[in-house]
Parts: sequence; C-alpha cells; structure tokens
Amino acid sequence: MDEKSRPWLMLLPALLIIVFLFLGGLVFCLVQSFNYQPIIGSYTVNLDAYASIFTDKAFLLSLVYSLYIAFGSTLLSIILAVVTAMALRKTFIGKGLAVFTFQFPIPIPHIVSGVAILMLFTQSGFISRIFNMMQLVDKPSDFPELVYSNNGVGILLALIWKFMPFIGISVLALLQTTGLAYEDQAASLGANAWQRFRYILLPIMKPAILSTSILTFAYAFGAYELPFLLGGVYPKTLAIIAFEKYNNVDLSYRPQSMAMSIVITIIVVSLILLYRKMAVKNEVSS
Amino acid sequence: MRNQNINKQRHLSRKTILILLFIWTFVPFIPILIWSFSLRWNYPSLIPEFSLRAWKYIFTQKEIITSLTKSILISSIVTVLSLLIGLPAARALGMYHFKGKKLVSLLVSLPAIVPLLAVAMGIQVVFIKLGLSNSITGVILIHLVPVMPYMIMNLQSVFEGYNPEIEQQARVLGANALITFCKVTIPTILPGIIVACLFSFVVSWSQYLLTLIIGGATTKTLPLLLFAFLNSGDYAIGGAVCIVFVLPALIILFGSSKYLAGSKTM
Repeated sequence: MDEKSRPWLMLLPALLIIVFLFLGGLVFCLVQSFNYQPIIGSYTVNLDAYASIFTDKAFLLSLVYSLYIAFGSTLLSIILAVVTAMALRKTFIGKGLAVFTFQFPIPIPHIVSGVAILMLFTQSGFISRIFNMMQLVDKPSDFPELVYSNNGVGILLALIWKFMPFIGISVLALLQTTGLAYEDQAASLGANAWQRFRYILLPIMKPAILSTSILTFAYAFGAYELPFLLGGVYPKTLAIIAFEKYNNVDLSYRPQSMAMSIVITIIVVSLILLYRKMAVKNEVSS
Repeated sequence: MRNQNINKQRHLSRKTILILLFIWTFVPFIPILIWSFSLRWNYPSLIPEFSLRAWKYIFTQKEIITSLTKSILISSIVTVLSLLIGLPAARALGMYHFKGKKLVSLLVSLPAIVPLLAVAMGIQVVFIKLGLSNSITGVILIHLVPVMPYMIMNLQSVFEGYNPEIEQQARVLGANALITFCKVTIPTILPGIIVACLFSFVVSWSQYLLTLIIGGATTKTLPLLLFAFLNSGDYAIGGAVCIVFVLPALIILFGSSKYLAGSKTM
C-alpha cells in the first residue's frame, strides 16, 4: 500500500460518517432555512426566514438570554475551577479522595444534574425545607425563585455543577506538572503570592482554561435539556424556541426554526475558529 | 513564626474549600435518593412517607424495562460501531504525519463541540425518505455523530503514547498482521480502549434531543422516559429512574477514575 494514502484510508470510514451525517445534516438544515422545502411544495430560495427572525423581538431576547447563560455559566465555572484547582495543586493527606470528588460530576449525564438542581432549589425543594427548619423561610413562596424563573439561576447552577470539574481537572493537571516548579523558583526570587498567581500560574493555566471553556460555552449556548427542565416560561433559550418552531404542526415555521439553528451553529463555529487562531498565535509567540 | 501562621491559614482555607467541594458534589444526590423511596413528601418535612412503590414500579413495569433494554442496546451498538470506525482513524491521527492532518483533526472534533440541533433537524427529512426516522437504526446513526469524535480523541491520545516497535518485533519473530494486531496491539492499548468505550457508551446513553428528533415516540430511551415522569410531576419514579440512569457513570468513576484526568469528555 502507498505510504501516503495509508492514513487517509484509515480515516475514511470516520470521515464518511462526518461528511454524510454531520456536514450533510448542516447542509440540509441550511437549505431548508432558505425556504426550500419540497415536502410542502416550496421550491423557492430566499432569506425570508432570516429576515423574520432578526426582526422578531422574542428571538432577539432569546439570543441575549442564551448568551447570558453561556457566558455566565462559563465564567463562574472558570473562577470556581481555578480556585479549587489552586487548593488541590500540592500534595496533602486525602488528596486522592479530594481529586476523586472533584472529578465526580464529569461522566454524570447533564440531565441528572438538572434533576438534582430541580429537587434542591424549587420553592418547595430540599433547600427551602432546610431553611424552613432553620426558621428562615415560612412557606414555599418565601423562598427565592431560582428554578422556573426568568433569572436562569437554576440553569446556571446545573451547568456549573457539570462544567467546573471539566475545566478544573484539566487546569489541575497543568498546575501539577509545570506549575509547581516555576512557582517555587518565583518564590525564591521574592515574588509574592499575588505576583506568583498573576505572572506564573495564570499564564500556565491559560491554555487549559481556553481549550475547555470553549467547549462549555458551546454546550451552554446550544443547551436544550437543562433550560427545558429548569427554565421559566419567558425568556427561553435559542435551542428551545428553535425546537418549538420545528415541532409546530404548521410546516411553514420550519425555515425559521432551521435559520435559528444555523445562527447557533455559526456563532459557535466562529468562536472555535477564533480560538484556534489565538492558539496558533500563542504557539508562534512562545 | 509569620511563615507558620501563613501555612496555618493556607491549611484552613484549603480545608474550607475541600468541605465546600464535598457538599457541592454529593449533596445534590440526596433529594434524588430520598424521593425514590417516598410515597408522599409534603412541605416542609425533611423526611418523606417511606415507600418502595417507585422501585417496585421500576422493576415490574414493562414500559421501563423495554426502555432500559432499548437504551442499553442502542448505546452498546453505537459504542461498538464507533470503536470499529474510530480505532483506525485514531491510529492515523495519533501515529502518522500527513498533509492536512490539522484540518482533519478539526473536522473530527467539531461534532463533539457544535450543538447538534441543526444537524438533527436538517437530516430528519433525509431520514424520513430513507425510512430511518422513528427507527432504532436512525437513532444509532445520529448518535454516532457526537460519540465518534469522543472515541477518536480518547484513542488518539492512547496512540500518541504508543510505541509501534513492539509490533515490528512481533512481525520479525514471524507473527502475521492479524496475530500481531490481536496479540500485541490490542492487549497493549486495552486499558485505553476500555476507558474510551465506557465514555462513548455514556455519551450515547445521555442523548436526549437527538433521540427525540430522529426517534420520535417509538424509540423511548431512558432519558426520554425520565423527562416524561418529571413532566408528570412524579418525582418518586423520576428519582428512581435517575438513579438507574446514573449507574454507567458510576461504573466509570469507580472502575477507571485514575484514567479520567486524561479523558476528553465533557
């Protein structure tokens, strides 16, 4: 066999799946977002669906809401992940158990974290009952609306529960391998705790933070399950309103739902490309 | 003296963080467990009226057993298929240098990052034409999209640390390609394969929206059933299904947690 074509041959089945199912699915979605729907006899190609969603206040609000959920969950997870990873970076008694606890949520399905937050934080949930026992809360309606509300706190909590360890474990791995040695050197040269964090540890953690938070952002931005379980009636995330339009018995809503999904995809793909450009630049400069 | 104080402080703050981490990670499971053993659980009581109703229901109702079987079947087939497709691909990406490798790596990782709503909604019309919609085959195919990237990325890092010289030695000693693969390659990377398979299984096992779009009501997997119970407000059965639903993840955590740090699954 030709040495040059060998890796391509080994990649062929995987690439076929990606081209036909993944890229194929995207192309069919794009085509339908242009109003081309042979199923209902619509053979026209236009941008009506995009024009109508971008003048629709509900869609724009959902866009902002999804950005809030994605940025909020990712930023808070980064902060908590860094704090926890910093606390776990050196050896101490019980470290094994601590790391096990830290990584515990990683394989747990998102839906389970959603159910947990639901049972904990509804107005008659577990936390509210504990507050009642402590006489902080008299009746369920005294407990703040965190789930099923427009502030999205329940969604954020469920996402952070999943994201924090995902970011943190990979930050911790970098801190343990390269961080400790440089940190000691900087300390012996007289750098104080803040300087060591800002100029030594943070730059070391940066690649791990970036590579993981792009994934968490993308997931949160397109999330359906958790906002469906924990969100309020209004506003809804993009994925939810897109899927609602898709499920409408009136098929003329389909192009709009496809257009919304394309918008989600374009935003996420541009972020990934931006990240890759940044990563390449970092490699070149260092 | 001052140094000692700082050390003490640091020790204390680490202790606080550890306790908070422990609470944050494990307390969320408490209400799920309690709900699964309850008949009624009225506000503001912290303890419910105890009952095994939910667990009896789970082990006797045909609906749940069917859905559990379907979930296990779908996720197992998806795992095996993505292993067969992913193993050579991961080897190519992990051990070969070729033009266009960076682009292929990006292409392979994209389905694991990009939200797949557009993909599933877009391909549904094609699946209808091919008779794949509302079928287990269709669900297996669409699950391959998010699962295969995880399989490939996990196995790729296994192959990056793999030394092919032992294969050449086996060949020199007279083993043919097939024997070398079965007796040398596979055993060497077996731990990596097992971890990649477990993760792939869980990624497929956790899919909700893709299954709903392609499978519709006919392929009611466990997560679809869980949503149905939660929507009907039956937290007792919801809690019990949730515990069954989390079992594969627990197998990973207790069986292979030392390999977790290097995995690429979110």
